[in-house]
Amino acid sequence: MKILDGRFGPLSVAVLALGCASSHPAVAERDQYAQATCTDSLTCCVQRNPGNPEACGLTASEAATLMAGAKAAAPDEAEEWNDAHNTQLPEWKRRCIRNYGDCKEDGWKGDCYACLRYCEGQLEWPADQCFPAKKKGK
Amino acid sequence: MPDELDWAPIRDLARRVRNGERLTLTDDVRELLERTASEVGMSKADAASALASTASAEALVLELARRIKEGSDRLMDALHRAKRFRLAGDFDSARQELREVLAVEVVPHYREIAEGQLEDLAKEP
Repeated sequence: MKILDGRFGPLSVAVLALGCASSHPAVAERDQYAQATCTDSLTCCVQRNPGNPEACGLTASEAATLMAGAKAAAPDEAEEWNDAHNTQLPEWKRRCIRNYGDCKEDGWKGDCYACLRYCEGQLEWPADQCFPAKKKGK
Repeated sequence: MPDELDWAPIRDLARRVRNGERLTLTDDVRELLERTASEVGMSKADAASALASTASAEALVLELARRIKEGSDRLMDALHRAKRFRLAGDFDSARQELREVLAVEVVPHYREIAEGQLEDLAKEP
């Protein structure tokens, strides 16, 4: 693995208090619901790292967009894999995020986070480094 | 083909060529281009021919990078669509996504990934 994070510009350091515990009943209920229903690793990651979207390779605005989409999609399980709510992002970035989600969820070979960072810097998913390995013995 | 691929150097080289930097055909660059050509399904003869001049070598760099990027985009998009079909229980459509990749893909690494996923799906109804 020779991907070097230092080659790329840093992600935004803006921090949004996203998904933080709140005493407001409506917000608390929303967060509990989202945590119970998240199946996309990226939304789950954001939920698990409140206020720290960079931990998931996202800027604050991207995390907000992602979670807004996840919240809207939550009532319909079939929509959980639909990233149409990210339409304002450029296609290359949507692809980076989709691939990162698949990489994490499906246990791809390689360092998914390093590949996400590389993808964001080079606008190209490094499929030489992060890709699904064939299942064995199934 | 080595067990561990690393296409970052060829992507970097392609970026420099696109930015107008003149390619210098050192031994290391020749070795990189020859190795990468074999990794993306290009014949040794075509690669050797392209290394005859700086201009054709620069075109070779861009072609190698194009195969790597376009294949990655095509495969990754197909894998994601196949996953969605698989989760919905539509295994035929999932398999079709992978077959469409195999119909056009020339990069052995990408073909191996698609073939592996297709084999996994063969166990499904």
